[in-house]
Amino acid sequence: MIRERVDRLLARLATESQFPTQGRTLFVDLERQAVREAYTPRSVVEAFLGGRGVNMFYLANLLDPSLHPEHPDIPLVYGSGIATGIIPSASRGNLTSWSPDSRILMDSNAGDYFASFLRLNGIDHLVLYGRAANPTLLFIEGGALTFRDATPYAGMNNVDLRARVAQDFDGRWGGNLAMINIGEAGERGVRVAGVMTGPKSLHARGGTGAKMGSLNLKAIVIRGITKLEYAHPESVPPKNRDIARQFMSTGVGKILHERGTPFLYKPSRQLWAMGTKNNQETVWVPDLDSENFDRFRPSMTGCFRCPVNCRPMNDITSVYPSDPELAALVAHVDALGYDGKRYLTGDGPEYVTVGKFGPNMGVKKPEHVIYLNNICNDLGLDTAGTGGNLSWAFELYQRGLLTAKETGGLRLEWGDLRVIAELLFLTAKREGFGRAIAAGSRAVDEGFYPPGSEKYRMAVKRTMQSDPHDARILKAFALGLAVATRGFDHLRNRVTLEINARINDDPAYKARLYGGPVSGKPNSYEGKELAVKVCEEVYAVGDAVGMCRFTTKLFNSPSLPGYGEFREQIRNATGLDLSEEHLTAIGANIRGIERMINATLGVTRKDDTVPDRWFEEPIKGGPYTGERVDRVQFDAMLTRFYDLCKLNAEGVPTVDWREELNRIVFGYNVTFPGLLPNPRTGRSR
Amino acid sequence: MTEEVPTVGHLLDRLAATYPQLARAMESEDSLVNVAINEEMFLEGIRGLPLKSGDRVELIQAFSGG
Repeated sequence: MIRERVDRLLARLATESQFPTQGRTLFVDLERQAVREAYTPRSVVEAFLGGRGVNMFYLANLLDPSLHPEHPDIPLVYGSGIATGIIPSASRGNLTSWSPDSRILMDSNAGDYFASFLRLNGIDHLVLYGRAANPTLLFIEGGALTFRDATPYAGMNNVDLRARVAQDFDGRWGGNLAMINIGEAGERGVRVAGVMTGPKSLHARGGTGAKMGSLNLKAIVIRGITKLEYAHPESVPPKNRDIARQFMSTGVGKILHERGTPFLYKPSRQLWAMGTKNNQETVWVPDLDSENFDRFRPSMTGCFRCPVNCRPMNDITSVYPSDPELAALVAHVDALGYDGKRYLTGDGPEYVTVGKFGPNMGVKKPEHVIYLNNICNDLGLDTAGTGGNLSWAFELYQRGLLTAKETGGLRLEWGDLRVIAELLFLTAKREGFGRAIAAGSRAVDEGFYPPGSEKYRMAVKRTMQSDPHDARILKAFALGLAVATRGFDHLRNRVTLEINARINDDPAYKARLYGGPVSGKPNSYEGKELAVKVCEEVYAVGDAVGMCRFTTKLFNSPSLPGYGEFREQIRNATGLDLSEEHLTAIGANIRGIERMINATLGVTRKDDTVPDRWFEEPIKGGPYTGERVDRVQFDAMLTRFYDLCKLNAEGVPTVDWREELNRIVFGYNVTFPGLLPNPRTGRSR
Repeated sequence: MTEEVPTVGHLLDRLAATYPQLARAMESEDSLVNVAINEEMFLEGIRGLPLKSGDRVELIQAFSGG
């Protein structure tokens, strides 16, 4: 079935490059070990640009909603941004499919080196399908892809795999080698497993690792890069220098360079918006403020040609074995059959991991969070999804909905480091109570938890929250999390500047920033739909460019590169002259096609919401004591968002726009007088 | 501070007079400075926030997301 779809799609694709720097799209049949190639048509690039946007074009054409996400006929699509590997800090790529966990759109953006290496091998997209007969590794060199037997790597986790691959392929990470890969968790279909792109970076959210594992694909390795031929080669380097200077001179650029993302912990804590113990509480200890990680951060590192270098390396050997809890934890990991000392050094953590394995799990010390972070990196576990599912289980245990009988004797008590670590290993192996964590959104359906447990699952569209910020106070955050197309997620549209008092106290400036009035009161509902819309569009374009979110305009600073800089450098590199208005429309198109894909998978308006806890339980202290989300006002804000974004009452593009998108994506459009029943649910829409 | 500053606005003005560089940084378009009083961060109406003797005021980065 997938092959027929690929045949039909290939007939509509271009056979030659459409513009300077454009790379090929490779259709990789893992079952038959066959590769076909084509180029994305210019009309599609003009509608969706590249990376995440063009991935949606491929997924929409190849998705068969009558199957299931792990079916090998459901493709896994990788895409580098149109300027990935060209603009400094544009080192990102997206991994897209139908999520094994949320069962809606899966789309995950990550950096490190792989996305840039792919593009600098003349390949923009990989469409992977079919289940390989044996564990398989794809090797790319000089733009050519070959199939390798990955049986020797089967069952290996990240630390060992990276060492072994570097040796076998005679290369060096951060030099001439790049890789995406899964660990044993992905091989076993764990729904909180990610696809690693480095020692720490991974494609998180939605179970990307489980999807890659379903194709029996262990890794894709690239050795070496080539030089791209730009449309205006003399203009690219000076503009790149301008862009780098621009983001390095902002406050956010400077602190990222110094400490990385953990600096985000303190503002959320001081606002009483730090998700704690599965969001039962919203404030936690100052011990996890980023300055307390300083002594465990020997150096910083970064993604391909990015001057920000925001990734902290870690080393906690200075407190081992003097910290008795850490010593006991290492001994416990040893007793489980692993090398406990291996996790005393590593890469990270990011703020998300600090939040998910700190306050969310009742853990108080930086060195303990770092140790758990290092285990997750080795096992290839997404710390957001894993942390969210762990805290859900711990709250169920706290409430007596789970007992030691169901957990295999484990006492799920907040802050118990040994239990948390043991559960990580059990989850990756899908053993014991780890099977419940590995089940992700289906833990109730599969009988691990009693009916009614969903009430305590902090999820939207079956997806655990991506970041630790509790959004009962900031209503723009709540709306953004509700409408994000891949589930409960802040990176699609977060109006981060809502947390900036100077901007909130300057209504005229704020109106200029978003193109209309947005209330300066962070807990107000007024105008927030406009801010979410504007952020969602520029972030979607940033992803399609390949730019890091932290160096994209409006994400924590109004002074970062945005449409203007993207436009100029896209023109310099590719020759495509896309106006700023055109780029804005591309951002909207990406939202539109993603919502159309989700509608096919059964998503409707009722799914654009936040957990009941945020409607029902007020914040218990701090400057916004008593704050919660009001259902009526939230619903009205959602309606305004739909209207502003040209979405109908169910949150999909209006008929005229849908017809337009259909023609671009599918090459034709058929309009019915009413909406047809959803093909998956049979329900009318 | 050893002199009375009844509001955050008064405090910021006093700081600006003493540290002009800080004032410039806080007034720039890229200013990302918020105020926390006694470990609680405020997001609006900053200058009018009342202060009393013994309050601990922090200027902290106004960031979110991640």
